[in-house]
Amino acid sequence: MTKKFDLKPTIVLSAICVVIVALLAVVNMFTAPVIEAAQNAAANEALLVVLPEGKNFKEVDLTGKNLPANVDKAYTEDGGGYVFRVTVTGKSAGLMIMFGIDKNGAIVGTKVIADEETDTYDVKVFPLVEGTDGGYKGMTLESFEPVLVGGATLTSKAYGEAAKIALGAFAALNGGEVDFRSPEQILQDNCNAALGTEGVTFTQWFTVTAISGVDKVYEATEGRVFVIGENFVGVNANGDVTTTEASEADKTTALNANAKIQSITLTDVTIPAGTSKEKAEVVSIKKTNEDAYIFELLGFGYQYTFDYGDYTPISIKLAIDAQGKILDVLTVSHNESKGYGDACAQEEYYEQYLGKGDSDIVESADKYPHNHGDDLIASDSTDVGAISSATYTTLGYQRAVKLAFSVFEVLTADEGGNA
Amino acid sequence: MKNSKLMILLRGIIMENPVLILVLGTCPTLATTNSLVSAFSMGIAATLVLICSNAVISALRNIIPETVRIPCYIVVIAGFVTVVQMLLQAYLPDIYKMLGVYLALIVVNCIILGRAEMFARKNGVVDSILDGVGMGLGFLLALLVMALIREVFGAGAFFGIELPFMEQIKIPALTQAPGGFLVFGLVIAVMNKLTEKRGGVKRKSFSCEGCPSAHICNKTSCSEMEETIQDAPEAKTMEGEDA
Repeated sequence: MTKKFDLKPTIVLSAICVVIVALLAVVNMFTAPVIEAAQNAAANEALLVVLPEGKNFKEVDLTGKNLPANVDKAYTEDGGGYVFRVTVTGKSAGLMIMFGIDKNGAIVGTKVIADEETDTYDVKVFPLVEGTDGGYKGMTLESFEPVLVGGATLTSKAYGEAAKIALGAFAALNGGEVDFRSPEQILQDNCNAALGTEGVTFTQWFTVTAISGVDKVYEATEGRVFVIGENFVGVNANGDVTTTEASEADKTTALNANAKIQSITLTDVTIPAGTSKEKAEVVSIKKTNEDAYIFELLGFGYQYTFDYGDYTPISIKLAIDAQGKILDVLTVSHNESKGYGDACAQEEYYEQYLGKGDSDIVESADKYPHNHGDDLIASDSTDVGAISSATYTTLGYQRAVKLAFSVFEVLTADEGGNA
Repeated sequence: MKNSKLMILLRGIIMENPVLILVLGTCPTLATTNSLVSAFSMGIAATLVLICSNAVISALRNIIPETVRIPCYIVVIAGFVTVVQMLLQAYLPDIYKMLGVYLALIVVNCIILGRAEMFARKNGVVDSILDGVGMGLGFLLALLVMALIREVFGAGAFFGIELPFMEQIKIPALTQAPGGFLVFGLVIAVMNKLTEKRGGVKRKSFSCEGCPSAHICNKTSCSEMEETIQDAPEAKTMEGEDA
């Protein structure tokens, strides 16, 4: 005899579920508006900090708005103002900042929501730019100027970048045309456009010869792009100018520059004996047919000074012209402290060295002979090659550069060149 | 002796205190007793759920089939817990935030499901409500005792008010997990001492008949335990208790 299927348990359980759901629906009817009002009040409180006159904030759906990924959230309010939450990377790890912008597109207030910046930098930057009386108050996209703080450049640049993104987002949401590409992206796009390529990554050419009329050179396997003023002029691997809209003068400049680069030859040079220096080392030397020298160097910075187990020296590439001036310098690799010595890898750091001679660079330890980098006095920020709050990295770098000049002096003396 | 309504009410407070005697609901006990405010809030929330679920389950005891009784109990209990959550979130948001995840965990609190299984499904609505009140008050009392010790001697405060004279002698470890377990153990020990002369726990509550796992456990062990206890001279069983 087969067992009869009993529907009763299913019916009872289902009925209980229905009744409970009905009870919850009734309670929800009364409590949901109260909860929503409380949540809105809490959210509004945060938004009012940066836009005190704002009324009735509503979150904006950013789907399809083509805003950069840095813009996490956006709120509009009845008066036409907006609040944007923007995340950027500063010196250390990340900054999440809220910007209140009024209906005219001017910043009303800013507030850091979360930051992982090194304490010394946020303490310097935030008081100057936060709040409704900060450095960015009243700025619009047209009048925008980043507020840079000495000794905390990267953090303050990041803050400025976030402010500009917020202003751009406001313009974009109000129908304006805004270019949100990062400077690096714009550079790559311009290079690709000049050379007639797509998706190619260009790197800056390491300068081993002076090229007149050209500000910068970028190269890829497909060719080179010469930056002449504000114009990008491409010359492909065959030596043909690819930028048809360039002026004849620019085309000529680019072709001449390309020819000059192609004429450069390199020969290996033996490292002279007895030229080693404490806390710096020459790895290799090459010489160009224009008597410029290209050094690969090792600088021993913070990690070495304190004898950390897996220390990696700072690897530096340096070019000195026949007149003893620095043509170019590049930090190839390093393992310096994040938030401090890692600034040695930033382009704005190398720029300090360009065009400088031996006498222009004074090791910070020489200025403080009692110090020799042994205590924590930061190097003088006006020193060439100084990194604020990174004394040992500074000394490691400066000593490597000074070593290159010492060796250059020996090499050119041997040849009867300039000392 | 006929079981009195008062006895049902009082049983849960002392003789069969769910936390200190039956050792049920230890998770919220340890989690919410580092302050008197959160202990009080948890106790009241659990008591409300216990009373309501006991009442409903008792009212439906003749309708709910055996095969789906546990799912039905869970649905009822979860429903009331959700109601309490919504009410707290709307009208007492600070308490809601303070209780956090432990509010939702009331659903799986052994006390509530245990009393539904052991009492509410076998007794009338009034008795079940009284049992819920008694057990709830017992739970609340246990939480308050624990919280009093941990907050006063651990944090040097009473209901959030700093006690200056405790500043130098407070033991912060009491507000942490190890301290919580220590206090819990000590309070249980004290409770056992206080109740041993009154006959201790009613062992019949642990008999196979009252055990939810009777159908899968080794019944020989439970019976042997009962025989041993019944032979003990101090052991007494409460009359009128349902088997």
